[in-house]
Amino acid sequence: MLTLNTSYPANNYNFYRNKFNADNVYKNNNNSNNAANTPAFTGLFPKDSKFLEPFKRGMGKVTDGIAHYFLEPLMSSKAGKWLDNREDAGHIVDHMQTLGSCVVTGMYMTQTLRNKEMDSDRKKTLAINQGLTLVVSNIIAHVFSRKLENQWDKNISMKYAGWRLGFTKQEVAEKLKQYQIKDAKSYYNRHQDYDALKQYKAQFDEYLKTDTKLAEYIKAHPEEEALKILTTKAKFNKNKGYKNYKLPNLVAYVEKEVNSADINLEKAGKNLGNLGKELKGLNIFKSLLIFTSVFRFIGPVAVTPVASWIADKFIHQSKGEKQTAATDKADNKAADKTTDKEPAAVKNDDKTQQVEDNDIAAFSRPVMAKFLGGQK
Amino acid sequence: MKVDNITDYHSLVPLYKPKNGLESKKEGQLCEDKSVNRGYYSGSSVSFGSAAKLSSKLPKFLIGCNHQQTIIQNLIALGLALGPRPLAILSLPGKKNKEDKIYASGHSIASGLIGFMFSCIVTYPIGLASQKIGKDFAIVSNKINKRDDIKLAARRLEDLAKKGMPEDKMSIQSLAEDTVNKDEVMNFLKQFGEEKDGKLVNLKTKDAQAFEKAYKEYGKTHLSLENLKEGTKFIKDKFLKMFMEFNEDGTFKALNRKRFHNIDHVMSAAVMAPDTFVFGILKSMLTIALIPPILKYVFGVEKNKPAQKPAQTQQPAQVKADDKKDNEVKTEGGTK
Repeated sequence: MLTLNTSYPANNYNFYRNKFNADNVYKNNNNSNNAANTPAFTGLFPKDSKFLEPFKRGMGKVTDGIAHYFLEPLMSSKAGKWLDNREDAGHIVDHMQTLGSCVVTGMYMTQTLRNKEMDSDRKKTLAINQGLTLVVSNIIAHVFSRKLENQWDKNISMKYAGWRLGFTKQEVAEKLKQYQIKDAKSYYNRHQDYDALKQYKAQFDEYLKTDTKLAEYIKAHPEEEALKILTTKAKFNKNKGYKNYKLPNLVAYVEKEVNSADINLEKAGKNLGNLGKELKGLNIFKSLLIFTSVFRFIGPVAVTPVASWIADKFIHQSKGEKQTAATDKADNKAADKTTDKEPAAVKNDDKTQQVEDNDIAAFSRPVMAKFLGGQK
Repeated sequence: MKVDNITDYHSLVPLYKPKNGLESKKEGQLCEDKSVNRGYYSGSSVSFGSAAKLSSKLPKFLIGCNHQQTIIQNLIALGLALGPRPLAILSLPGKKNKEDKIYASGHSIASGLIGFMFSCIVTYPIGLASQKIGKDFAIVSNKINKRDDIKLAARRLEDLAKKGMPEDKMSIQSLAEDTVNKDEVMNFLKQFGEEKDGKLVNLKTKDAQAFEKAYKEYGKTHLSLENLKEGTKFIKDKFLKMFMEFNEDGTFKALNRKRFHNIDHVMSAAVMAPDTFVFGILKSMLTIALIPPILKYVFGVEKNKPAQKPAQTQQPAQVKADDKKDNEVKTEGGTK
């Protein structure tokens, strides 16, 4: 019986490991002056560069000043308190980007309309394009952001959390669900004597008579009863669930889980203490990605043909009608006199056509340059 | 010669190509990143070459997203300006305005670069400042979390007191379950009894109200204004009063959890506010001002001047000739 060894040495970890060790052993054994030949590191461990020290110190003072005199007072101002109390504070990054785009586009539109070098039709066309881009981009971005929220959480955030904790996406989803069931049960048990919750439970029981599917589910999964009571989005609770209870999300779960013993230590990553912050950063990145892509690329590309159609239809067409009316008048006058002005009337039409061609060509350049190049 | 068996003696672990490099944690495979270890495995048990670098950089990048939103936004814009946007502009129909398209593509790239550099220089210190406030807020959060753990343990003791303190449920592990600060909880529980074989025994009191009083006392002392600001540099009273209520003597009264959890969002808004209301406009003005010279001297692209039209030059000459005739008529006949 013949057994072939099909392993190729170049792909063989053990081959090279043994070879490396063998080479080193050979070198070490055959060299009598090992100590002399072995490089000895006698210096201290490398420290931060002294050259950058003044810069770092200066930067430290500047950032301290910004934190002390700007950021902290801004956060604890009336605006900060108002924002802190809002239900949708979680979407603040979306709203700040919308505000930023409104401010910059407003500036661009004002600049465009005040520009004396452009004729009024071109100004109107550009202003329409800018305004339309602002409105449509914001609508698209907000809709995308809301619709993709659940998908992002399920596919990307959970996968990332699983990668860091050493679990699969499905395992994370299951663990999160168990955590939510436990939290809801604990909350319900502590607050079931409260009048508000008692009233809410009565409304829920009434609703359950109409929703037989939910009733059957609760019967089949009694451990999830509290969770369903507190989070069911039905018309009687205006599609929000029990307003005093906030279901823990993936970030809340991860911040607890990281400190528990239930991590797959063999596969888990390092430095898990900031995992909650990483997941928050992932959500912020999602918002920035969607809004920037829509504002800088998708919005202008989608809006430019519509804006140029509007401009052609309502501005150039009306301008064309005015000009033909003016040339008709001139023609009528010319018909009374036998002069050489008839060829001039024809030339006026050519000029109109040339102006229109120039406008379209000139329109495309500033559109591409300003809206795709400079606008937020 | 008959070959009965083909065995690979050395690769006992099945070789497979990792999908994205992040899941590959198998030892015994060739590391292909020759710049790292000269082509053979170095013994690292995390992952290979580029995947290892990604696995350490990605968490740092995501933590940076919490504080440097403006820079990340402009980085994404830069990525779009360098790739998809110029491609979209160049692929527009129309052969005649090719130079316009090249100019517009250069405009896009230049504006992306200017925006990114401006945001890096101007908003980076603001992001660093928010990190410092974040660290101080983390110190405050830890103290609040400790109090929450104490409250949880005290609530469990209250529930057990109502049931007559059954000994089988007095284990330290069950009392401290789901808490993060185990040492703090242990210190709290020790004031009621002793620890023996993992259980709380020799209880000094079995009164539920005593446990409630104890955790409220803990909150009053550990969550007072002075205690919360201890160890921080930038946290002031006004900031703490956004999400907490205090008595007149500065001791803790109540915590508004919704406001407490929203502080991160308030911080994000504060970091983005300067760029939203002030620097965004400055950045746009700077972009408009700097782009023509950058395109001219860096990219070598210049805006085309409109070509002169011969038909237009004839008209002024005709007009002038007509004026002359009129003038002649006027001078001959005199003005009317």
